[in-house]
Amino acid sequence: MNEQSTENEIIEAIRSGQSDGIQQLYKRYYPMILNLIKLNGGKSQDAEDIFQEALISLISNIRKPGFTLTSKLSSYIYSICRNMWYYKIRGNKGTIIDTEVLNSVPDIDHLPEMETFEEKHKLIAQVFENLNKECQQILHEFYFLDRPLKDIGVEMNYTEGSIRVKKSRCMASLKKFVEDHPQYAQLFSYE
Amino acid sequence: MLKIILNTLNYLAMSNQELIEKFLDNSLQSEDQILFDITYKANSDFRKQVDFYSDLIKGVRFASNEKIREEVRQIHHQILPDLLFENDLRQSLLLRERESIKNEILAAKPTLIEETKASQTKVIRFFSKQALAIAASILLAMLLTVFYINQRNKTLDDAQMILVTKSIENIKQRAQRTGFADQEKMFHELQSKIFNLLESGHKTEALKENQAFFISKSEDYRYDQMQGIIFLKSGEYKKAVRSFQTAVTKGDECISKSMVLILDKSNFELNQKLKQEIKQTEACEQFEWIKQVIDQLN
Repeated sequence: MNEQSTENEIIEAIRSGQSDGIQQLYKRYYPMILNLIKLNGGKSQDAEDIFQEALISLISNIRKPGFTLTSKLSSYIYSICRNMWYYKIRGNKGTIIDTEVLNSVPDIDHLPEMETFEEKHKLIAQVFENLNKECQQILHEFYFLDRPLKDIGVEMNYTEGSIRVKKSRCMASLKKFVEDHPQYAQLFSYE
Repeated sequence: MLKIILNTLNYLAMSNQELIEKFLDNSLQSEDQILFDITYKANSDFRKQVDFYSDLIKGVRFASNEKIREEVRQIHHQILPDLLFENDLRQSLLLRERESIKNEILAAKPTLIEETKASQTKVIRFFSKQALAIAASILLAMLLTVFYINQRNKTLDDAQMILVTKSIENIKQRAQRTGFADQEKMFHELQSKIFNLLESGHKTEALKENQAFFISKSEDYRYDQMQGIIFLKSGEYKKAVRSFQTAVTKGDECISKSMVLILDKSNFELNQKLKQEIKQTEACEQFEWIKQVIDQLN
């Protein structure tokens, strides 16, 4: 992978877990985002944080089945970063915003929604690591990658019925681990 | 009609557990969804279970997100110092290019005036005197800035500039990577703050922050080391060298010694000795950039 690689080649590299795909994203687009953030009252640390978050969102989408990019990668990354930065500085009245720069790229349709996580989700993620690898894979593919259970079953040599039972048991184990955790009562309360 | 009644009875007979199973399988049909929503509103036990499962799903997504974050973070630390360095270098080259164009224009100016006089061309006035005065003062300010920068930079050659920029970028990156287990967390936070202040042109505030942090620790070499970095980032190289030398006398075996090595080429023998000392100091091995400095200065 080099500077001449096409966007599709970069996407393919990211999909198959090759690190040079992500490296190319950094090389090509980080200076652009650094510039955007600095022109709008941010510092290089802000640019690093925003760019990292945007990449996480992009990579997780690329790895979902059926993902197709309908715009240029640069526009996609720029739009996510711009929106995230806008959102972050909205409450900060002291920040000078160059609206011309912020508005210079049209909005991309269907930008991914940013999910917010709490302490309890960090705890679940910690406990998740205690599940066996098979359970981790099933839950990750079904709930994160949104893959149909049937496809996961085919890949893992299970019938649709068996994979459904497996997933159900994995979820029950996760539930039990979380409920047994010493911080459960403190972090989880439902009305 | 009978079919509708039977369907309704079937739905009503569906246990809450079945509804939750369907919810977890993402297989709630529109009719199921209605029953699900009603039960969710009416039955607090059901609601608690669903909320808990929703959190579990969100937790799974968080875990997956964290794996990607780690992947990105590794590449970030691996690639960013070089990338930022390339960026700085590109900007410096651009500045140099602009300066050379500016010099060409300045050199061409007298010739143009002579040519204009010779041909006795009638000059049409496009600008008012005021506009010309403003333009002249801007040009003067630009020339003074270039002169000032040249004066401050003249003690460093290109190779030194490259090593300094790379070293500073590495120190900055290391400071920003601070975490819970970092024994120097507070110092690294101070460094990050100082780098931010310097980036926004607040050198005096940066010096004050440094002083305030080390107020009762005058023998801590990190004070002089940080002061050296502030001067270095501000282009005051002589002051920077002095600060780094003081840090070395207070016991800074790695960073300040390497900085003196880069910045002060006046004493060859002393530099050879410094190089040997750095190489023999085990603590310096954790700094990859110091190894590179030694290699490049060999």
